[in-house]
Amino acid sequence: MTTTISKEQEKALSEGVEILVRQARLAAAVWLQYTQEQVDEIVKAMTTAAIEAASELAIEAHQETHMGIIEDKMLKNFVASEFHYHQIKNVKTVGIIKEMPEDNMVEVAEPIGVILALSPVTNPTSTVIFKSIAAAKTRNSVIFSSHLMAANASNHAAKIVYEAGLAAGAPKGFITWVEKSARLRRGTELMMNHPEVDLIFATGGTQMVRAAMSTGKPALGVGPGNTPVYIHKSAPPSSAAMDVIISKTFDNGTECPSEQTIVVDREIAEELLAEFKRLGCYICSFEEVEKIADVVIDSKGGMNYKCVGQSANFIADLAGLDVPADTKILLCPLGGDIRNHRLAVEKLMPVLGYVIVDSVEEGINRALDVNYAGGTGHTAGIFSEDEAVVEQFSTAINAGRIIVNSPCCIGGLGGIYNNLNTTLSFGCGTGGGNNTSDNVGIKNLLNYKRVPKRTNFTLSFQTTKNIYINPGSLDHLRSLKTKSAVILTSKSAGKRGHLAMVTERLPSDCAIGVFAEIDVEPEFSTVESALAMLRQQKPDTIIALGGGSVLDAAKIIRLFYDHPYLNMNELAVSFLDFRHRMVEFPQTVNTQLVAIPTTSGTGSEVTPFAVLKDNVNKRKISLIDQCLLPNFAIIDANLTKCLPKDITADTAFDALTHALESLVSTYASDYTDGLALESMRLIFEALPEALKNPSNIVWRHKLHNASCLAGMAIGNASVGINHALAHSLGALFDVPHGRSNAVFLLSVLDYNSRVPRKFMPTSTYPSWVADQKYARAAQFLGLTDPGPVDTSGKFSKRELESHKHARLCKELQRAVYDLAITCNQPISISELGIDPDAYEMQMLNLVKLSFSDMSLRTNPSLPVLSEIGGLLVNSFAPRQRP
Amino acid sequence: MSSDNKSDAGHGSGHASNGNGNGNGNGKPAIALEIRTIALKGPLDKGLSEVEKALGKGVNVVLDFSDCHFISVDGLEWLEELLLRADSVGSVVNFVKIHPVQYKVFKVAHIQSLLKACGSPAAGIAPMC
Repeated sequence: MTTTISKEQEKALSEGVEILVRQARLAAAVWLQYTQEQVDEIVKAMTTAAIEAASELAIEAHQETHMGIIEDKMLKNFVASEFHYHQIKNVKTVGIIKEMPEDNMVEVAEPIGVILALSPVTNPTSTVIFKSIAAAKTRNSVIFSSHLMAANASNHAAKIVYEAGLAAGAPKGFITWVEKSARLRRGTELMMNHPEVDLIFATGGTQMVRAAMSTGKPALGVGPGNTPVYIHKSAPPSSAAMDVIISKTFDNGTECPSEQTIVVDREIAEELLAEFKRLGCYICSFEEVEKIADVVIDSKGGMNYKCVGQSANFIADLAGLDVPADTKILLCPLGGDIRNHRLAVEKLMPVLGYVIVDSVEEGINRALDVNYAGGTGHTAGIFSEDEAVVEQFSTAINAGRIIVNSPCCIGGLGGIYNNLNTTLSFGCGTGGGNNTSDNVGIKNLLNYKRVPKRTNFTLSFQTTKNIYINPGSLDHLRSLKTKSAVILTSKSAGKRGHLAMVTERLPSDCAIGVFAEIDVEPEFSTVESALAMLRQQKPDTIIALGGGSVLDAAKIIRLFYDHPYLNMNELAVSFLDFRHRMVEFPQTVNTQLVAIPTTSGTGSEVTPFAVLKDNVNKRKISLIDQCLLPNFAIIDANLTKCLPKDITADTAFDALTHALESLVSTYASDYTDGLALESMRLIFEALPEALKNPSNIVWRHKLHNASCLAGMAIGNASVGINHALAHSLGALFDVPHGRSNAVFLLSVLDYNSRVPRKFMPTSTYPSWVADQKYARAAQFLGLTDPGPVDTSGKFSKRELESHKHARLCKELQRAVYDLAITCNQPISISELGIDPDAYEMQMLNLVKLSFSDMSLRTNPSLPVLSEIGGLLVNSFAPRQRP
Repeated sequence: MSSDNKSDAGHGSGHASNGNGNGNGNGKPAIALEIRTIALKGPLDKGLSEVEKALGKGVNVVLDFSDCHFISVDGLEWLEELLLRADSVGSVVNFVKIHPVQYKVFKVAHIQSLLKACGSPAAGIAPMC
């Protein structure tokens, strides 16, 4: 029925709405100043008042609505006040409400503001009490718009709790209500769309809830119920029957979580129905069911509101049925296809449908039929002592609360038969068109502010456990505990005499195998061949003897030998943050791995890295994990005396790049800095001398140590953009790794020493210090600031410092340039014999490969694509002295 | 709630009644205005007659909130009425030294005149609170 309103009435209504909303708005603002203690005192006073008025309000509600049972309404008022209070009294709702030290974060409460609360005809006073207490506890103000048929009782409840709250110090106007009138609905519409209303909290019929949800404003709604309950054969019929009766008769069935259709296993059906009858229920015949359906279901297929909350006898009389006096429930067998049965819908009255089934699957399916017939997301129930059946039921049914072995109605209210939070508003999730499936309560009436502090990041320092150093340290092999060892090496190891040096030092009772097929930058096929040999020999020790390629391959071979089920592609999946990477490496490896480097550059004997070449996809695959670390490393420079000059220089520049990259890495620490600086110093000192006197063991020893120190540094701090560029160049143009690194070094030093266009976003790097680090490196090498220092006073102290760092960075670049010239080391791509046109043609691939290389992710600046391209271009032409 | 009353005679360049930064913009010398600073003490939950009495043509009132840690609904309503009254008698009322909690109360209350008294952007001057 539409009520037409005159312009004057509309104006008066609008003014009334403005007054209510303004009062609520001011109260919401003033609430912000209240402490937890003040709020809790107010809530306590309101609860006390509600308890004291529980029976008075129950009587009023029944008199006004002519629905339900006074005694049960009084119980609901207690649930809404006493039970509710018990659950929330110690809950923090002001200030910091949750501390999560493990996440370095806290949660802080922010009230919603102004809540427009709609209350139903079925639970008028209890809903008002519940929402008032919840609003006060969360420092929100609330405007009640109640169902027209229950407005007086509802508003009286609001007045009682408001006055108690006010007396305890609550802000004036924190609870207001729309007076009962013919224009109540229009007033509610105006408020629903009012800009000063922050949230609509709607509890009621579908139409009202739908109207609230369609305003475009944040809304908490509820949905219709149509509760199916499955009674499994394991459930004792006597207690199941009593619980269903308690629930379905509670307030004459007006609670929406109450049972609507029970699905009963045939094995107990007869006994259960007999028990229902014994306890005062009436079992209808099919013919009687039709008569009941005619009166309780309206022409649109929904429940007839005239029957809502009426007694079983009232309904029976309406239907023309002769049932005993004080009949509790009319039990209606639902024959035929339950999906089409008129009574398989929500009936807020003591009319209960039932079906009998022959299996758990059939039982759950029939329950699903009811669940998806208008009450999706609301409530369901199961009586069963079989946990597996309960789990199966809970997994299948879509309901925000699935009550087990208890009355659904009171069980759904929460806090009485279980530990659900007490509510008078049942969220139904998306199944019911709501945004929550919670028992709506104070948790839903707050905004949560999370305050995460910067995560502390624990760096670890790990390296090969046992490192034997000094010329002659190869003798340690004599005491190696091994019965069967396989030496992995390259063909040149035999020619150089290295293989003999190793084999003659192994224990005499050790069976020795040799796999000498590992080339420079091997592929996985080489790994597979080695594995085949190992699986035949079954060694307890693998000895890796060679340069970086051999050591890297040996690490991978050992890994796959110990864990043959592993998948290389999975292990090689890239990651942005080591802490979050997807791949899991094995925790342990069993076979002993001894790493004996014969070049002074790789540092692989002490790193958790292993790189393989993928010729098919023209890329390098990097594996990174602590399980790759060898057990032993032997740093014996005697093995490097015969290294040709070009390889000596290449590998030394590889080590130098390691040192310089680890120094400025975002994972650098004082531990790795110390190693990097000393490594760098040793290289500058020893490399020219080693090239002049290649057989001089002192210089070789310093270079060999430098390589190992730099290896330890990158093993923990990782590398940067230099390696990303070097990997891509090496993959596409077959340039040895050390040489690849060297040709980019000067460009990268220059790039990294400038203020980045984009800073690297990582919690391990609190401030950009690359320029300072390079400056320190320069000073560590004995280089000095060439000046001049600006004394004009134009610049701040910080700026002057920056200028000094820039000058020292330049000195460092000059030192690297001079070292390269002295050592005849190529430091530009043009010196590698790469055709410029061929290089240009591969530019896009070079950029792509570099960009996706994991090495980039610990660079002190985050290179953008154009910068990567710039570095690649910049590194081609012959260098000038910086 | 009580108040402390301080009276300062100020020259017009920053306090011209028409709100212009330097005099009234027409080359004429600015009107000399009296500025009275009143410090609010304690919670503001009702009207303060001494503040109302301070209003008058040519008088600007500055309410100092540094010792005010609570404003009730009545207090808010009184402030709003005060500003209306000030406007009608040609006074300007500004709020200074408001604590963040109370400033937020003004924000959430959505009363534009209160925000303006704090020097919100609508007033064209920098916030003073």
